[in-house]
Amino acid sequence: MRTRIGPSDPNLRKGPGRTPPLWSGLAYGARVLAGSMIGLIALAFVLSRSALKPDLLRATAHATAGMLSILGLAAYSEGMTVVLGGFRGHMILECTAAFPIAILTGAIVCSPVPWRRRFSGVVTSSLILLAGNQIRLTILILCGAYLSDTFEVLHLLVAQALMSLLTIWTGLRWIVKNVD
Amino acid sequence: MSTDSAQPRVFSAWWLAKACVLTVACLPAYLASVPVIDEIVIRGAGVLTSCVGIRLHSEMDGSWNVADAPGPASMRRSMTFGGEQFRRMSYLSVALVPCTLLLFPSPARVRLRLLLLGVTAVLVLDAAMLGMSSVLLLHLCADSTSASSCRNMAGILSPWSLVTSLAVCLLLLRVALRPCRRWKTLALRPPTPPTPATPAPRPERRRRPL
Repeated sequence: MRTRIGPSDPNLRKGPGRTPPLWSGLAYGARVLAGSMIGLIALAFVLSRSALKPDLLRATAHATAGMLSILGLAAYSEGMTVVLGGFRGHMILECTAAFPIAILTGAIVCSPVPWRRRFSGVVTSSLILLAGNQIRLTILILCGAYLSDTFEVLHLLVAQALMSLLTIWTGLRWIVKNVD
Repeated sequence: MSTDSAQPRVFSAWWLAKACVLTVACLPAYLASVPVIDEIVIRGAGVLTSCVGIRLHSEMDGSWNVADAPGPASMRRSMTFGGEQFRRMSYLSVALVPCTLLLFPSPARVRLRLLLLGVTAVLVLDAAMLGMSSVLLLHLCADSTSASSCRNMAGILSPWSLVTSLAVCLLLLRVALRPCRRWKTLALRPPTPPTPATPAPRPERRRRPL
């Protein structure tokens, strides 16, 4: 019996060596875009009105001061502000890892994989981003205290770019491991 | 699907370190090209906003101005948002995506194609978002900008660069790896010719004496 080679051939559509067609790639991109956008908008509009926001900012300031103390520096937190020497770093929502986590969570949740993998991906990615953000904040407070001339550039450009890169890397790693 | 452990790991911590160095090295070039990027994005967004009778343009201080198109109507609304720092952060995806794509483990030709595709996609998405935000801001916040939703709408343009970067990188990863059967190991590298299987000479088995 001759096998018909074409789009309707079931052997081309199934099996472990299936090559995803172009439209599925585009559809996946659209899903990721929609998911991360929904995550971002949901966070921006829900958390900004939520009572959790001050707690989140206080916790971030406290964790940053704690990390600086571990390094042997006399840093402390006053509410949402981290104090090191004469430098006072006030935390805002963009200082937390909330935006990257929301965006990546949206992208992961929209990926076509079993829910268990999505859940483990969200948890792992969130932990990586939280850790990366704490390191970023610690370095920024150190730069604010000791390299105040370069603080603005480091804060608004370099640290922002590196945090975005960490988010992209986490997403790429997860997709290579989990999405076929 | 199991990952072949013999293959080199893609997107390792070393890859991230290289991407960080490349991005930081590219930032001065990015800063220099922000006015050009802004011009392109504003033109694209202007085409979109002109469809609904709204004009969008850049101010000298780096902010954006959105206004109703001039006409006979006396009720002409106008508002300015953003700024130089904000503009730099909004277009950060134009620096991030090329740096990420340049380090994709694929042949140089494929990377160049991805780069062109990626930059185009990022510019289109940025223009679409800026156009959409401008229209919404003018309609909802022209009278009063004190509402938190107005601040959020303008502020969303900054994290939007992360959304576009992530979506474009994941999309291109998936599209670029389309022809590869084992795309988990990033077979985008030029295929190596299969080595002829030469069976190793088997040692003669000595029979145990009974």
